[in-house]
Amino acid sequence: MFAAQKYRSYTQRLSGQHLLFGLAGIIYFAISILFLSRWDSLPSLATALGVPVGILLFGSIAMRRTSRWLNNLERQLLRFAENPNRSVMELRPLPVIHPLAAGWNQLLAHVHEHSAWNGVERRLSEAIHSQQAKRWESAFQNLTDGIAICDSEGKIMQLNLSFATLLHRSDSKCLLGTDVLDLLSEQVDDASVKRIRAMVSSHATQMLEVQRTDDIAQGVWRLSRISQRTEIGDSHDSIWTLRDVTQLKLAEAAREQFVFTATHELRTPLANIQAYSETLATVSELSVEQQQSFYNTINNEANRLARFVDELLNISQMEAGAITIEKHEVQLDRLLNEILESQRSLANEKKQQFTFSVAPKLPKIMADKDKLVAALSNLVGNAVKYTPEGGKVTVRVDSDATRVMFMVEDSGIGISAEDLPKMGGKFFRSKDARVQGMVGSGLGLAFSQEIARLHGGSILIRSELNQGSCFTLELPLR
Amino acid sequence: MVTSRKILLAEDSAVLADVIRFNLQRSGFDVSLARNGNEASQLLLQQPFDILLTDYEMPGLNGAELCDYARNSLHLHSLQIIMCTAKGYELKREELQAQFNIEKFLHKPFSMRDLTKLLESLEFKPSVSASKTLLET
Repeated sequence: MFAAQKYRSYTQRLSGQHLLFGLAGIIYFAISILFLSRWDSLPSLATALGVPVGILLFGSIAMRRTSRWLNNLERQLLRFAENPNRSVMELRPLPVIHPLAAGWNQLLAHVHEHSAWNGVERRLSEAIHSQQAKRWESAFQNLTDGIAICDSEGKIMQLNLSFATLLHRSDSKCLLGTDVLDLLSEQVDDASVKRIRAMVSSHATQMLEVQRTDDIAQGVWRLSRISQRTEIGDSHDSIWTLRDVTQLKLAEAAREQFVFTATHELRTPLANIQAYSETLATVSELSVEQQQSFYNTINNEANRLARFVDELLNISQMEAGAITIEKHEVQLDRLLNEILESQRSLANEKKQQFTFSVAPKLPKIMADKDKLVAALSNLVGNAVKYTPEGGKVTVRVDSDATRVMFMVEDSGIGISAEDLPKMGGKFFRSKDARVQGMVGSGLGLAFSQEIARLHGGSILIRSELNQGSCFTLELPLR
Repeated sequence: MVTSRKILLAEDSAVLADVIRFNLQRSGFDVSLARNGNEASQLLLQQPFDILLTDYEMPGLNGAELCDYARNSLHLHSLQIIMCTAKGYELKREELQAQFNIEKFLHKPFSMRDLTKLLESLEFKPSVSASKTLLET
């Protein structure tokens, strides 16, 4: 502004010069009239009038030319002073008829150059910012957690795709402006609705886990609400985040179930060992036969405990993905005998018809004997376990040119069509009361399948509820 | 002659049931054995017992259901109940104990000597048969 004022006074001075020229012309004209009265001749009059008129004409033209570019310069300077940023490109150079114009032009060249750089810089920064904004937007939209930003009344102002998806809505845009509490309430049971509504009572950050129904498999959400003061007034926006923790909760429940099962499986043989050993130690009048039977029981229970510990180790190895197999040539008949012997006592106890049929000529296979025995024992053990007293368990072994098949068939409780695809899932146990009434970790079949897979084979399951099941473990010959 | 106290032992594991029965008989108890909850409920209906020693997890009726049947269907309020279990804290022990007036919870493994002492320490209440309580109600 200060510079502009300086320029203005300078141009005013130039207008003063204009006046000076005019005044000189008038004085000259007066003197000429004075002379005229003396000489009284026409040529002299013409000279006396013509010279000053010519001078005045010339001077006026010269002054007008000067004042036009000066006015131009003045206008431009004023415009520049008023808004130095926006009018820069509208400034024009002046014809060089005065050092001042040359100076102006030079100054203008600098200003234009500077402003061009500024423009490039601005456009570059705008581009960078818009790219960053796009990246943020894309990240916001693609987060697995659902996020919604609501106004002070709880109406959704912004939300991402996951928020809509978790609420089972395909279109996120149509949720804009709806009440977030109403939306959430539609998806959960009444007890959870109350808890969610209570979150709004304070501005403190709150977190809540809500189940959609009594069954955690139907969905569990971790919901949080962060309140933030808006820039205008005293109102608060709220940010709601929604995370689907169903899988986490299911895994936790399965793990807990496993711990309960494992505890039970450890306590049961221990109870027997303690009871029998204590009786042996304290009762003196036991017959030799009784003593022998008690020792056998303790031995059997200790074996059961050892088997369970082995199973636990197998499971932990499987969980860590650390099971390795060492293949050697295996005699199938010997391997089968080992399996059947380990399971026969329970089958006899349950008065089951336990039959065993092996094709006359079985090929030798390359396998990890101990792991295969464990895998097949699981299958046979399950068949005996889930077949009621007096039922039938048949183990058949057959082979063709490419594979050997171990078929374990039973007349047991069977598997429902609903449960069949879930079989072999770690920790999975059917909700059937007949399964829940039995002790089991829900990991035996998963282990057997892993062993089959490591041998390049697989386990096929055929079953019908209440009719029985057939588990076939297939191993390739080569 | 002192009549020995009648115990109904409901335990699905034959191995454990045998050794418990052996020890209790040796200590002078009259022990009847039921292999599952349903068998136990039948015996409770047919005969009078002083003490019910039951496992929690059994096929058929489980321990809690058996207690419910004894207390609420057969109205055997003077029957003294001891429950044993291999389950851990997932079993709501205090709730069950209060609900069915269970004298004591035993966690497997437990000592035979402790069990015998516990049973001997129980206050003698004359046994009432289910048929009598059912008639009264």
